[in-house]
Parts: sequence; C-alpha cells; structure tokens
Amino acid sequence: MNMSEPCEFSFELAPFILGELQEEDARSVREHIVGCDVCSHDLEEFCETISLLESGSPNRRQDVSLATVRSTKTRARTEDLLLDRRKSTRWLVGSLVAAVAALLGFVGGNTYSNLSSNSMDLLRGSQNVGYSTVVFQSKSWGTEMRFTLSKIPKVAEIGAWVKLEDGTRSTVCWWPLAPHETSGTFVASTPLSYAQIKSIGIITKNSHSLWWLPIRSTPKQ
Amino acid sequence: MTMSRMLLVMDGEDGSFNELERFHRASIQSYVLKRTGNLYLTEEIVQETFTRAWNSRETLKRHENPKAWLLTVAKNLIVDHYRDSSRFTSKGSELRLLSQPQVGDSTSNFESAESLKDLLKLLSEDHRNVLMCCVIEGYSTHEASEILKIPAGTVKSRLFYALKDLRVKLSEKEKSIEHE
Repeated sequence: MNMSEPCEFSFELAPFILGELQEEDARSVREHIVGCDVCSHDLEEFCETISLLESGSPNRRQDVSLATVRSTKTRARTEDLLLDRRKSTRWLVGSLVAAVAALLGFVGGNTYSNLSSNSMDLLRGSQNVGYSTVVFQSKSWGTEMRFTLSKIPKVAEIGAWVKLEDGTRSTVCWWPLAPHETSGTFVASTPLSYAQIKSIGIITKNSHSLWWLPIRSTPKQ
Repeated sequence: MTMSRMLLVMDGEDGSFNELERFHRASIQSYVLKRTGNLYLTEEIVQETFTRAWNSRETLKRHENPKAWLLTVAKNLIVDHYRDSSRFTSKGSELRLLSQPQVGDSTSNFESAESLKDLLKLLSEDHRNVLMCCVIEGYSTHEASEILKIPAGTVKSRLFYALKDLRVKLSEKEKSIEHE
C-alpha cells in the first residue's frame, strides 16, 4: 500500500491517540494498527507531533494537577540515592529514603523543601531522543537545573545553555560523557534567577541541539 | 495477578477499583501512547500503572485526584523505561560554571527556529482550527464538531490531514535549520 494514502482506519488514529474512542472501537483500531504498516507509521509520527503540540500548550484542558508536579519533585529528590539499586526495589526504596530525607531536611547538603521549583518535559529536537525532563530549583545563589536525560547520542560532551530575556545566550556548563553513557541525570547551576531565564537547552559540541525548552515567549510588538 | 483476575477479585470486595480503571484507562493510555508512540510499550506501562494502583487502592480511595496519581505513576514508569538501558549516573559534582554570555551565539537549531505556534500559522485555516480545538484546547471530536460547525467525520479527516501537513512543515523546518 502507498504510505501516503490513508487506509480505512486512518481517520480514527488521532481520536485513538487522544483517548476519545469507546473501548470496543479502540480495540478494533489497536488490532488494525498492529497489522497495518501505514497506520503504524502514522501512529508513531502523530504521537510525536501531538506530544509536541501539547508540550507547547499550557492551556490544554487536562487535569494534570499539582500533585503530578509535587511527585516529580519528590522523585528528583531521591534520584541520587537510587544509584545502583536494582530495578525491582528502586521505586520502593527511593520513596522510603526520600520520606526519611524530607523528615530530616537533608538531601546531599541541599533541601528541596523550597517550593519555588518547576518540573517540565523537555521538547524533542530533530531526532527522537526519548522522554526527558528538567527540574528548576530556586536557590539563594541563583537557579539549579536538574536534567534527567533518557537518551543521549554517542558524543564526547554535552552542554547546557540558558537564554535571557534580552536575547543573549550563555553556555552554563559542559559535561564529559563516558563511551557507554546513553542516559543520566545532570545538574547545572547558574547565578541567574528563574525569572531571568527565557529558554534553556542541551547541545553537543558540534552544535547539534538535542533538546530545548522555551520557558516563556516574549509577546510580539 | 492479571488485570482481569484483579478486577474479578476487586468486584467481589469493592466495585470502586473496577470503576476507577474503566473511567481512567483511556486517558492514561492516551497519555502514555503520546509519549512513547509504541502500542506494546503503552500496554505494558498502562498495565503496570493499574497494578500499582491496585496495590495502593487504600491510598487511592482517599486520594483527592486519582487521575493525577495514575498519571504520575505512568510518567515515572516511562522515565524508568527509557532510563533502564544504561546505568544511572549523577554528574552533579562535575559541573563547571562559565560566566561569559555569548551574544548572538547560533549554536542551537531549534532555539533559533520559529516556535510551533508560528509553524501552525503556515497551515490552512481549516487545519489550524481543528488542531487548536482537538489537540491544543483538548476538545473531543464531537465538541470540535459543534464549535467548528462541521460534521464529526470531517473533524476526524481534517485532523488526520492537519497532522500530516504539520509533520511535513516540521520536517522542512528541521532540514532548513540543519543546512544553515
């Protein structure tokens, strides 16, 4: 079948992805996609495009409440402590340790009790680089940015940059990568306040942009 | 315990979990699918999400927003999945601060590109409207049909072609940035 021509289920793909089909209809579409190259291909592309559209749409009518953000923060707080934990026990142990750490007010010398933090999904660049997030934490000296990158290409170094409201851009830091490193958590610090940062991103030495996140857009005159 | 078995047991004790699963499954599935683009992985993550929900059903009964709880679990499972392939590494101690801002630095592809909103402006009005309604504002096909005053079938077909069109525009933009 020609990949550019729609098949009989093509128009149901977007409603399927958006989760608005009845259970039985969704099952039919799912069964069809499994055996249809055209729809499998379209599904993958549509998922990425819709995800991208939603990422840039803070007004979307969905009730991902503060609870989601709070939980993500708790997760970030436990991340350093999850190192070398087996997958099956990682979640439980991490949660317990985070609870104890929160009670003691101590996590690696930094408390995350400050509520002025934001957790966001990083937009994907020109390649499918996986699902990645960034958590901003306001500190007395500026802003800490904790990137959790789920997929990194085989490069020697990656860096983080921030762009200011006046258009200037500053590379905050570079992190050397080990050959086997394909994911990880990277922390960058900047003396800038969160309010001063217009956008952030991750780049490689050959200037290829991996992720970027426009925090706020400047209104056009 | 499989989901069907779990629901059978739950039905005997308390129908509320079955109700919860029926009510939220589609939106959790949609949330995961959009982020993975993979049907099998989506099914696996959704299944695991509701397994954890079952294990925490006492907490969920009292939770003021079970959907947010489910979305958080799903989100964490997605992150875990992508993180699984390699060892988890913290680089906090290796950061270094470079203080000099680089005015006019053009090392980013996407940062210098038009925003997604600007890309939407390149689409036809019909395509833009249907994407605004169904994807950005989150209205259902039927709601969009009433708002745009077109049949629901037309909303679906326009949505399909609008996504295709936007995909083409995105690819063109990426290519032009790569050539710069």
